[in-house]
Amino acid sequence: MGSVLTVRLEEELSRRLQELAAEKHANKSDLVREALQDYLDKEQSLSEIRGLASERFAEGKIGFDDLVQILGFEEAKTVAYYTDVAERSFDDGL
Amino acid sequence: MSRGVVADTSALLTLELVDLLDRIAFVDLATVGRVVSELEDLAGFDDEEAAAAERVLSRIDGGGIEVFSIQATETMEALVSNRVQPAEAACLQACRESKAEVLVTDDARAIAGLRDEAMAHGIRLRISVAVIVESRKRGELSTTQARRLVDEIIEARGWEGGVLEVLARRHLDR
Repeated sequence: MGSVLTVRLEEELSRRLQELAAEKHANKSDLVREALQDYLDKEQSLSEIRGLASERFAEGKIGFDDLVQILGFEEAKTVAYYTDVAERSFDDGL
Repeated sequence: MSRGVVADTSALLTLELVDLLDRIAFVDLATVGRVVSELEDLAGFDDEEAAAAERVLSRIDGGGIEVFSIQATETMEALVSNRVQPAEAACLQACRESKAEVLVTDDARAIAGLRDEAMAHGIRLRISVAVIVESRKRGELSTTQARRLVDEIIEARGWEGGVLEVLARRHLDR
């Protein structure tokens, strides 16, 4: 017996889920389970690579362009902005 | 000097997990109603994060953390994306409406999504470690204590081998 997870969905997301379920003649829970499984598989595969690349970037061993090559632009931007904010937090406090 | 700081769910949880919310008397700490809803959702699970969410909710009930009720605006809605959740957008809006100078979040994706808007309004984005650094600057924590607390955050949040460890080594291992 699996566990039950309650998730609050925004109206738009809920509407899209409802529409897809109707279109596919599928149960909404099954679709959410399938989407979550796909997402977790992908994220777990990427997690190690992302962690290592972020660490090397924060160490200054690779630059932003290298990060983009490894993670893609959006993910690289996320790492770069987080690193910048973290650096400021360590430098200045609040 | 007391100053306004708005914290989102991720930051409140981090600070609670390492007992830092008791050390933050030097700021006026606030959050938003949508964060309270997120905490209530999280408190329904059965793990350490759920217990921390429950404790944060108790602090809120006790008046230790002010809660702003933020009405959705077009600007706020425009910020919501696959990176920025409504609660985080509301936190930024709360900073604007309350003139709080700092928004604390540990969510990397939210930081990326909120950065430009925060900068445009002179709001500083910080991660929860900034509270430790601030306490150290005020002489309330030694460097060793600060380092230990950062390590506790890394362990509690499962952030081993990432940016925080690198920066902690650079800034606190002297």
